[in-house]
Amino acid sequence: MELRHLTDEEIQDYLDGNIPEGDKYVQEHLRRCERCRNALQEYKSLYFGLKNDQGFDLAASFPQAVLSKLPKEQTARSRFRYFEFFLIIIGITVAGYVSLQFINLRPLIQAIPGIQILDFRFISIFLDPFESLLKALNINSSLIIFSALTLVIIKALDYIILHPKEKPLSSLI
Amino acid sequence: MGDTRSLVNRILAGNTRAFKAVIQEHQRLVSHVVFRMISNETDREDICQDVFVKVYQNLGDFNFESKLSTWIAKIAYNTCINFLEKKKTLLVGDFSSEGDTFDTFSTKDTLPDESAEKNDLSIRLQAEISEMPAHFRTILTLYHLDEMSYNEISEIMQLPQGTVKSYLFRARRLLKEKLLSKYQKEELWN
Repeated sequence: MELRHLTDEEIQDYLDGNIPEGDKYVQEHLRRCERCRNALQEYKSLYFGLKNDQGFDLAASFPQAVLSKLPKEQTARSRFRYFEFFLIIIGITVAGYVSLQFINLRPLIQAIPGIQILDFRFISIFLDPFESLLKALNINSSLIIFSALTLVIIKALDYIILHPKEKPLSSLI
Repeated sequence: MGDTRSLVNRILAGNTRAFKAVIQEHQRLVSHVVFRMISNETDREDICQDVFVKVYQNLGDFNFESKLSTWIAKIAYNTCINFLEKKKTLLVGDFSSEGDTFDTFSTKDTLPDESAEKNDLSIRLQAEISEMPAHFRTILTLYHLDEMSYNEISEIMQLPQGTVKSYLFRARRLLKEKLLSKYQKEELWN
């Protein structure tokens, strides 16, 4: 069988663990060929040197230095901007319901010029279930309870998710 | 991944203590990338700080599809690239795919006195690596020192996996040739 020395790529692949287990050629060749064994040893030493490099160390005060450079306003909250938008919509909707029930804005809305273009049945889809609920309850007390509950929920979500208690930056620096 | 999500959410909610933990966990990785790519010592720490400020400002865009460390290393790498491009520094030498040799690099001759001092493989390696192009230095560091996979390096450097592997092989071969051209085997590998 003709002796073909291993290429650099084959030796590096062998050391990187990229040679399939079933492929015995490299192992078999290394067993018989001193030249390739020497090349392998050189690469092994090089790998050892690279892996045991001391690396680079930053000063112990580095994290504090970074924290002092952070913008004062929390700008990394973009993930929640949709949630904040959702809360605002909920708030407006609730306020709308409450207002409608409180001062009966329906006739006023219908009186707005051009409102006829909109299908009022669409608005009724949202209003009807709420009105049915209120009719079943005492209107005044249910309004107060519902409004208060909604405000508490919104405030709780805002407190838990968006504004958790945090240490000021200065306490960490 | 669950822990990472919780950590990221705490930072996004303004918990600076959580961000400090991220800095401490990743500052070594960032320093490896930055120190390997930026030769000017006075710029290095400033760039490392800028990297973490960018991490903080852009954390809302982290999509959890990769490891947090990979994402941070990518920011570090891109920050360095932008810095080097501004300074018009050589990123990759004009290597042909065939027969690249250490002569391609602008190697400095080692003076005899220096040679006597550099009796340690690590110091010799550092010296030789520092003369390689930035891409090669980064790949060697990410693979061997930070133990990243081809896939992760590929994502960080925005290079195809095949190119990463090819650069890595060429960098190691050149490094070995450079060392053997300057030193006796016994000096190096003992």
